[in-house]
Amino acid sequence: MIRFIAILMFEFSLVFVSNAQIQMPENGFSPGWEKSEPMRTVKSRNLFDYIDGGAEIFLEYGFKELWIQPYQKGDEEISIELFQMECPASALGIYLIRTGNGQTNTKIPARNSCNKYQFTIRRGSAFIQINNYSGEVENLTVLTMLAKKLLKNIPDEPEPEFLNLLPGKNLVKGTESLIRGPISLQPVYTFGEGDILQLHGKIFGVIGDYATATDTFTLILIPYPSEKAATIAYRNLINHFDPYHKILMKDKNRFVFRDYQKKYGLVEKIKKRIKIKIKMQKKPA
Amino acid sequence: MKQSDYHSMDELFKMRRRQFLKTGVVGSGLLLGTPTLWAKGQEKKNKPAKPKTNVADVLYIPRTKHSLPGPFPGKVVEVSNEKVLVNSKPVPSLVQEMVQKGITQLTGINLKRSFDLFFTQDDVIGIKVNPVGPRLINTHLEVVDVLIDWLTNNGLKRNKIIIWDRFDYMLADAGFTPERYPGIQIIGLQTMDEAAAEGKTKDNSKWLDKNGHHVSEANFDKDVYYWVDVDGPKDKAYLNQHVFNGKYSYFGKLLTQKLTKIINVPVFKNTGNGISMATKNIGYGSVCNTNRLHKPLFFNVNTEVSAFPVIRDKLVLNITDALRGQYEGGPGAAAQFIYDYNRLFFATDPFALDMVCQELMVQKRKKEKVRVNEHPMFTEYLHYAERLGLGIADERKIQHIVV
Repeated sequence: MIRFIAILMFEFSLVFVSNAQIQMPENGFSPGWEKSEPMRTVKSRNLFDYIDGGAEIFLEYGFKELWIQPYQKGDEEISIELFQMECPASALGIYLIRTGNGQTNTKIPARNSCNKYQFTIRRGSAFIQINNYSGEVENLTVLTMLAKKLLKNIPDEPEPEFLNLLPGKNLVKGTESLIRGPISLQPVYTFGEGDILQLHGKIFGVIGDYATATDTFTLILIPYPSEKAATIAYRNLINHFDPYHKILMKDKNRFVFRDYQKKYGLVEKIKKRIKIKIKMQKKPA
Repeated sequence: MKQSDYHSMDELFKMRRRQFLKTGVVGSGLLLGTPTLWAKGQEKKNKPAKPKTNVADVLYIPRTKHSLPGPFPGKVVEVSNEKVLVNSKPVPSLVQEMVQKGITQLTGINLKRSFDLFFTQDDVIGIKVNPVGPRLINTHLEVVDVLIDWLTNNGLKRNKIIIWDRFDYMLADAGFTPERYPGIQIIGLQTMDEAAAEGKTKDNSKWLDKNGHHVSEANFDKDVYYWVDVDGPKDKAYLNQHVFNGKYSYFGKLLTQKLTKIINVPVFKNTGNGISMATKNIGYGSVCNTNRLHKPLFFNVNTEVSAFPVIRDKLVLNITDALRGQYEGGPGAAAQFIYDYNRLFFATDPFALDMVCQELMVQKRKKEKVRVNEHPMFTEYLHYAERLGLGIADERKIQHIVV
C-alpha cells in the first residue's frame, strides 16, 4: 500500500522547474565559450517540428517544455537540450530508452550516460541532452563543466520507486524500463492495436527481463489506480488481442498464449494489477 | 489523373482475380493468389481498415524495362571494409573500391557496362540522399563523390546530375552545397522556414506567400499524386513543413518532369522497430504532405509511393550507406546509438535490400541489448510490395551476397 501511494505521488506530484528558474550557464562558463543565440523554448504543440518523427514518445511519457541553448567557441558548437517532463517518472522513462552504451561520468551529480557526441542526464523531472556536434574529445571537459553548472539550477528528486515493483531475483540488470501508452510499449511487444493496456498516457507500467536457470522472459507489471481499471484493461486486452498470437487457455483473470515466434505468454489480473510474462520458452502451467 | 478518382485495393484484387481466370497467366500467381489469401487473413484478423488510397490506379500502367525490382530482383550485395573509416571519417579511396566492388558484384559486369545497363548519356540522374543528422548519420559525401565519378567517367555531363532531397536546408546542412559540388545541381523539393517552425519567429513571409500558399507549392506536380483518404492538419506549422495539408501528396516536379533515372542512397538507421532505409528514403522523400500518413499507413507509404511509375520506372539503383549505422533513436540522429559499421549495400530491388537490412538491424539491436519487437507487422509492407510485383521480400528468395 505504501509503495502504491508512493507511485501515485510520483504520478500526480508534478514538480516543475519554472521557466523563470531556468538559468543556462552564462557566457564564459569555460574560457572562450559563449551563447551563440538566445535560449529557445519549444512547447508541446511544436515538439513535432523540433523532433520530426520522435516527438510522440516524449508526449506520451509526459512532456511539458523544452529549452535549447547553443554555445560556440570558434568552429566548435555544443548545446543543451533540457526537456522538462511532467514528473520524475516521466523523465526516467525517456532517459531509460534514450541512453545507449555510454559510460557514467562520475563528475556529474546525476544519473547519466555519456559518449563523445552526447551526455544524457536525468535529474528530478528533467531529461537533459548535452550535444557535442563535432565529437571532438577535447570538448568533453567543457561538457562536464556545462552539465555541472546547469544541474545546480535543477532541483533533485529521488528516483521513482516504480522500479522497485520488479522482483530483484533473476532480474537482468539494466533491462528496466517504463511504459505509459502504446508508443512506449511498441518496442517491447505487440499485444494489439491502440492503447491495448489502457494506460492512457497516465498510468506507468514497469518492465524488466529475467533469466532463471530454466527459462528467460520479460515481465511487465502495471499497477492500475483501481481494481475496476485493471478489470477494464484486462477485458480490453483479451477482447482485442493481437491475432498473430494464439490464446491457449483463458479464464476470468488469467490467460496463456503462444506468440508468432512460438514463445509463450501469461497474463494475470491480480486485484489492481496486471502482470504479464512474455517470450517464455516453456509453456506456463 | 483526375483528382479524387481511386480504386480500393479490394477492387483491385477482385479485378486481378478476374483477369487471372480469364487469361490464365501463371506468372501472375503471386499477385493474384496471395492477395486473396491475404484479404481473407486480414478479415480473420479483424484489423481496423486502412484508409483508401489511389495506388490501384497506377498498377495497370505498363511497366518498362527499368521498372522495379529491376534486373536483379531479390539480389543484395553487401560490401565491407573494416578500414574504410578513420576516426569515423571515410577514406575516399576505400569508399571508391567498395562502390566499384558493389556495383560490379551486383550486375556481374564491369563498371562501364553497368552504366550502360542502367543509364544512357541522355539521362538526367537524381541522386537521392538522406541529409538528416548532418555530420553524424547523413549520406556520406564520399559515397556521392564516387557515384558522380562513375557517371561522369561514362560520359554523363555534370549538369545532368542532381543531388536531391525533400528539404533544401537539410541538404545544405549536410554539406551538399554548390561549392562542394561545382556543376552539379543541388535541389530540395521544398523549403521550410526552420525559425517559424521552431517558434523562433512569428514572421511567416519566408514560406507563405501573400495568398496564403506555401512558396514551394509550384515545385509539386498536381497531376501526379498519392491520394489517401486522410486529411492533413490545418495549422500553419504543418503547412510550413508539408506544403499542402489536404488529402493529396503530390510528387515533386523534379521527379515527374526532370529526372529520368534515380539512384537512391539512404543510410542504415532504425525507426522504432522498423528501418528508415531504402524504401522509406524514397517513399517519404518524393512527395509532400506526409506526416498525416505516419499513423494510418506508415510503412505502407513506402510501398505504395514506389508503385507510381515516377518512382517504379526511374529508380534503378539503391545503395544503402552503412559506413555508419544507427540502431536506436532513429530516424532522427541520436549520437549515442550511432556506430561505425563499415558497409555498403547494393541492390536494384529496394524491398529485398530493406528486408536484408531489417534483419541485420534486428541482430544489431539484440546485440546492443535494445528491446526488439519482431512482430510481423514491421515487415508487412515489404511483403505487400512483393504482392504488387515491386520487389522480393520472401527471405527464401533473397540472394544476400557478402563480399
